[in-house]
Parts: sequence; C-alpha cells; structure tokens
Amino acid sequence: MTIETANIVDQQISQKEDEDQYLTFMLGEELYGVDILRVQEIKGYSKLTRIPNTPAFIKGVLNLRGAIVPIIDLRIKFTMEQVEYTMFTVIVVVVVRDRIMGMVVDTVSDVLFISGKDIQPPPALGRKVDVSFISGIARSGENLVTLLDIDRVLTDEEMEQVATAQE
Amino acid sequence: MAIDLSRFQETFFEESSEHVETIETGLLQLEHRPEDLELLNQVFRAAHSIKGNSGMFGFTAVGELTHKMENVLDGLRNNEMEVTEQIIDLLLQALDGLKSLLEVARGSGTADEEAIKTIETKLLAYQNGTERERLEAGGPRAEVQDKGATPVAERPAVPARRLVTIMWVPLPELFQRGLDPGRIFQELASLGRIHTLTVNADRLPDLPAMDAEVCYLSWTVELETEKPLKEIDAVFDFVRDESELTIAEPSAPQPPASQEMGEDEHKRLGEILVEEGEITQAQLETSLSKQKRIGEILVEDHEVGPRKITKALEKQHRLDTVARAQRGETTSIRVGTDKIDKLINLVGELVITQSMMANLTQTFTMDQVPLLQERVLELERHSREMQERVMSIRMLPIRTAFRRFPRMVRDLAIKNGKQIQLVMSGEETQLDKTVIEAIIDPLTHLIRNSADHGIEPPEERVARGKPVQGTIKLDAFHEGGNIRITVEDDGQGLNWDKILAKAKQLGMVAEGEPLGKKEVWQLIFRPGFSTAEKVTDLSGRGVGMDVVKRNIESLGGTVGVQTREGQGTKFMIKLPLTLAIIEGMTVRIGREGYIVPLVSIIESVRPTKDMMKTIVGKGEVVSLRNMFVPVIRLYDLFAIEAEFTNPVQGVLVLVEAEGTKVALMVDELVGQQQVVIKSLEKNFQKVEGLAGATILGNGEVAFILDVPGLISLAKNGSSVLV
Repeated sequence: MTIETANIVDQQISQKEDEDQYLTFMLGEELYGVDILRVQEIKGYSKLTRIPNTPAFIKGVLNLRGAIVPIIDLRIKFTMEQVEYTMFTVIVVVVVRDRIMGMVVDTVSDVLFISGKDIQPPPALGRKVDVSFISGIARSGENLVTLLDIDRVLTDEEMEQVATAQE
Repeated sequence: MAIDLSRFQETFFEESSEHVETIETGLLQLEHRPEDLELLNQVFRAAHSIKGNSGMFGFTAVGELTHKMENVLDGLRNNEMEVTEQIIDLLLQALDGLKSLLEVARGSGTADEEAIKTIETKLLAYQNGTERERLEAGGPRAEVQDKGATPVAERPAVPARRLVTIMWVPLPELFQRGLDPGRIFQELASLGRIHTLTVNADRLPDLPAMDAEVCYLSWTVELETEKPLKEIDAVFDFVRDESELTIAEPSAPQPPASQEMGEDEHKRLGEILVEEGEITQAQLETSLSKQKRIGEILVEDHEVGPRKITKALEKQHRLDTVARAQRGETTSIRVGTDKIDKLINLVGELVITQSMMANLTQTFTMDQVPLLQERVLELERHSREMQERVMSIRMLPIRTAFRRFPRMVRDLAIKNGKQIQLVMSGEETQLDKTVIEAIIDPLTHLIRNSADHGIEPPEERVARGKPVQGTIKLDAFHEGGNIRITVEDDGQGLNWDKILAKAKQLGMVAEGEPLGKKEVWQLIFRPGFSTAEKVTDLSGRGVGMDVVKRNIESLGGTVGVQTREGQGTKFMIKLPLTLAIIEGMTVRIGREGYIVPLVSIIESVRPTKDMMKTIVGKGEVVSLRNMFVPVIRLYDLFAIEAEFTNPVQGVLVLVEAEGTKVALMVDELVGQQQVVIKSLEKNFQKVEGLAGATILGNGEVAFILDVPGLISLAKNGSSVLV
C-alpha cells in the first residue's frame, strides 16, 4: 500500500459528520470545487456537435452512451481567457436538476474533504461582480478553493433567457 | 407467503376492459340488428366472463351488476324480451356503472352507488316483468326469479375497520427454510394499516451464544383493517407449520376513535354542514357551482394571462400523468405470440451471426475481407428486420381509438335530438401506440364538434333538402410515411362571415386586414375562439380547437380544415407513424451534418444562375417550374461556416411544412438513413429550428431539422443570443 492510498484511508476514517467531499479542478491558476455527489463521471474531451443559435459558452452536445448531453465551457462562462483544448482538458459530467450536463475544465486535480467550518461565505465584491454561483470559499492547505453552486452555474438567467426567447 | 394476486388482478382489469368494449360495441350494433343472435351471444359471453372473473377476485359489486345484466341478456337470448331502445339504453347505463365499479376495484375513481342501485333495480324489474308474464302463462322456469333476487340478500356484510391483534411466534428454524418475516409484514400492510408492530426479543441470547441462522424474535402486530380474519390468516399460510399464531379480533368490533378519525379525515366542509343540518344538499350544490376554478379567478383579476394558465394546466396534467405512472399503473400491450415467435427466431439468427463474426475475427487474415463484409451485411439485415419487428409490436390498429366513438355519437345524437350515423373506415390502419393514445382526445373533440355544431337539427336538414339523418365520416389511411385521419360531416359547414366577425370582435383580426381563405379557416384554431351561440357542457367554450391543434402538432402532425357552407366540414389530420424513428436525409453544411426529415422533402435541385432571383424586401427566391420558392441559407440562419455561399455550387432542398414551401440551401446531400430521435430537451432545452438530435454511425451527434420551426425562424429573423 502506498502512502497516498494510506492517506485516503486515513482521511476516510477521520471523516467527520460535517465534512463533505469535493471534486476540485483547475481553470487557469484557480482551483474550483464541486460537490462530489453531483459528479456523475469525468471523461476526456472529445469532438462536440455545435448547437446553432446558442450562447458561446454552450460548446455543443456530446453522445454519452446514447444520451444527448450539453457541454458548457466554464472558461467562457466565467469570461476567462480561452485556451486551446489539450490532452488534459476534461469534461466533468454533473447532474443538475435531473439533467445531465458537462463542464469543460482545464484539469481535474483532487478530491478534498472540507468541513463546514472551513468554508467562508463568498466575499461581497460589489454589485458589478456576480458571485451568486459561488457557494463559498474554502482553505485547503496552501490553496484557496472556490466552491461552485453547480445548480446556479448551469441554470442561471442566461440559460433561462435562451429558454424564454424560444417560446 | 400467499401468491401475489395483484399480478393476476392486472390481467383481470385488462381483460375486463376488453370485455366491456365488446359489450359496448355489441349493444350498439344490436340496436340496429336486433335479430342477430350471434351478436347477442357475444355480448352475453363477455358479460359472463366478467362475472366469473370478478367472483374469483372477490369484486362482489362487479359480479352482482354483471349478473343482473346477464339475466336480462339471457332473457333477450331466449326471446323472452324484445330488443328495444329502452333495454339497450338501460344496458348501456349499466355498463357505465360497471366501468366505474371496475375503476373503483382498481383503486381509482369513484362509483355512484345510488345510480348503480337504481340501474340494478331497473334491470331486475325488466327481468321480473317477463318472469311474471311467463309465470302467468304457466312457464316452468320459476327459479330464474330467485337467481335474480338472491345476490342482494347474499351480499356479505363487509366487516368494519377494526384493530386485529396478531401474535406470531415463529419456530427458530424459520430462516433455514428460506422464509422472510419481512415479506409477511409487507403483505399484512397491504391488507390495511399496521397500527403497531412490536418485536419481542426476550428469547434473544447473549451475542456469543447467538446463532445468526436462528430466529429468536417474535412479533405482535396490531393491524387496522376491514378485511375478514380469513384473509389475514391466509398471509401466514406458508409459515403456519413453523409458527405459533394467534389472531384476535377486538371484543368491541369497532374501536371508535380510529373509526371516527378515519372517516372525518376524508370529509369535506360542505358534507359536514349538510350532515349537521345547517344547510341542505341543494343549497350546498348551488353554492359549489358558483365556485370558480383558481385559474379563472386569476385571469379575471388580470394576474396572469389565459395562455399561462393553459400552460400551467398542461403541466399539472403532465405531473398527474407522471404521478399516475409512478403509482404503478403500468400500461401494457397485448402482443400476438406469432410476433414474439418471429422475434425470438430473429434473435437466434442474430446470435449466430454474431458468433460467426467473433470466430472470424479471432483468426482473421486479410484474404477474408469479403467474408467479413458478407457477415456484416447479414448482421445489418438482421438488425434492421429486428428493428422493424420490434416497432411493429408497438403498432396497433387505430380501431382501439375509434371504437369509443359510436357510443359517444349515439349519446350526443339523443341528447341533441338529432339523427346522426357514424361511418368509420380504415379501422385496421396500424400506428404507434403512443400516437393512438394521444390522438384520442383531439379526435373526440372534433367528433363532438361535428355532432354538436356541425350536424343541423332534423327540421333544418329537411328544410335544406338534406336527408334527415346526418352523417359523420371517420377515416384513417396510410399515405407515404404518414397516417391521415379525416373527420367529415355533412352539416352546416363553417360560416365565413361569422368567423370573421367574431375574430374582429375578439381583436384577433384588425379591421380591413385582408385575409385569404386559408387564414380565415385557421382562425378557428386560435385560443379562445368560438362562434357557438349555445354553450353546451362539451363544446362551444372556445377552448378546444386550439388544444386540438397543439396536441396534434406536439405529435409532429398537422391539422387542416376544408369546409363548404351548408354542405359540411372536413378536418384532415396528418400524423407520423411513429415518434421514435424517422426516415431522414443527411445533409452537410461545412463540417457539420444535419438530418432533414424525409417526409417534408419534396425534391432537391442544384440551381443554375438564372434560376436565382432576388425580390426586394422579400429576400432570395428560386424559380422552379414557374413557381417562386423562398431560399433559406441554413449556414446563415445557424451562423456556421459553410463550404459554399453561392447557391449555384451548393444544393437546394425543397421542403414543405404546413402548406408553405421553402428551399434550404446546404453544401451537399450525404445520404438517406433511418435515425432514432433523441430528445434535446431531456438534458438541455428546445432549440428553435431543431426537432431533436440523433446519433450517427460514427458516434457523433447530429441534429434533426424542424422544418416548420425553420420557416418561422427565417420569417422572424434569426434569434442568435450571445
């Protein structure tokens, strides 16, 4: 048994009641986390089919074992600089309100145990900066992890707009 | 462990509903052919089967009613009575009662017991009437009267709801015999409500001494139920030899507290007031009739628009349907064994081909390529045939939807004092079960409209020189990949001026707005439109035709109307055969493939330069055989990069939807194939211009174009949201 797995076992044993597991991933230099229970799977980036007349952050749809799954580029969504997709680019498939959706992220980094008391509410950055899809900020060793409220990220007004415009 | 009866009950209900339908059609035909003994026998047999089966499952009320119907039918069969309209009427009423009783037995709906009682008495009266006559004539079969009378007397008193105490001490070997106490409790729970369940763990030894395979526990259950003790006892049939069992009824048969509560829980305010003599039933009913639906109130207060309400109601309906599905009301299809046999044969073939291929690939050399190709071809043939056969299982004759209409038309005719005959043809036309189910409501509405408003009263018909009896024709037939259903009446037809006037009054059409014939007739499909002077309980409320249209369109179909004043109206419905698979043409735009449903394609052309014309303010058109067709540049509409931007280099695909023709400009036609429709809405949302998606042979996703959507998209300009 390697030290790493031993650590995980340790962690699992020491997991307390108010601790949740988060899948963390990188977008540029930043570390983000989502509730692991919402993650269905992680898969490599593969060719998507673009959907006409949809916002740019919707990269297209993917055939996930027979289901048509929309894929969202979080970089575009968060108005970050776009990068070329590489062999490390992955799609995190999550379940949002009974729907399956995918998020394109730079790399997946780790699974962290974060206890409720280590999570700070998102900072108020004035009205110009929308922090509604951030559920909190947590410290993990040296790093800060931005925890995302996945429901809000993937079903916010922009998506609603698309929906209403089509009625 | 008792046998799971519910499985058989489902079959019983299914069979019963088939028998009910047989009786209904039989009775309606009998009215016209009273001398047809075979028909009468058929009805009799169906009633007899229901009676027999219901007895087996203990649905006494169903059994009793059918028994009485059967007696009357028997009288008809033995020529003791004559088939008259009254008798048929009564039997049909009884049948309605029977339907509601079956619903109740199934655990949903309510039955008007009063009404059923009255019908039963009437049935009895009919039967006894003839009986008396026969007795006066000195006939020998006096026992028939008893037969009719006994069931009432025999009706077993239903035990009231009470607490039954069950003490169950199983032998230690219970587990070793593979018996599970959990199952027992589940079954008990299905008989009523388990009030308390106490575990007695006295016999449980200390942990070291305990043997995990020995049952040390015993239980005391207090079950609140109205079921007889016999039934409770039956639950323990399989464990009786291994247990000590005592089942005790309380000395006072009704524990008053729970009894009261159980009833009051379901009581409504009005009922209580009536009971306490504060108001009368009539007062209650008048007041209740004044009560408005919340939707109506909201619309009146201008809180929301009627469209939103309709939408919400639809959602509610959908949720209800889902809830019903979750309650375990499974739908099922009866499939002929021959169909299944053929399928199994095919599966066998498929497995053989697959193993041959597996063999081949294990020892594959390049010279075997032709052999491999041959095998792949075989595999393709088999899977295609299998697909067709599986689809055909879902295909049912449209008769299943049609057969409710004769009764409905008959009732409507009697109610409106009209004479109407319903002529049906093409009942054997097959189409997808879901389509059949979804088409019933719109068809019902159209036929009701025809019977209520279309067909004139007899005197008016005579005055117009038409036959007294009006005719409604219902027809179904295949045409291409579609099914067409027409509802035609020879009534008064739609009134052009009236429709136009009403539309103006409702503000749907501006004064002086020029309207073509087609547009005027389309007005009747608008929400809130009705020209009926008389509002009946069924039609004329202005909700209806719009719902008909929406329902049909949601099935991917279209509805059109043809009418001639004074001569009749004809509604034409066009529907796809199935919702799951369509025949499509793959087209390429740039690097992306799209599927155009083959049914909407008329032709495809590569235009020459002089065929392309530009009309100021109208955009681009292509001239085809002296017909100008607007061109939609798909790459433009979808904002994608195409290989060709000049129509002369690309291909124009001429499509038609809802009577409008347009030419779609694409780079290339790739090929024709069957595609399985996958919903985009399931994980995403509806995208304008796309009917759905499909997965191509290479695993990639391609979108299926929604031609009507594209046309309206092109009309309103593209709606790119970035």
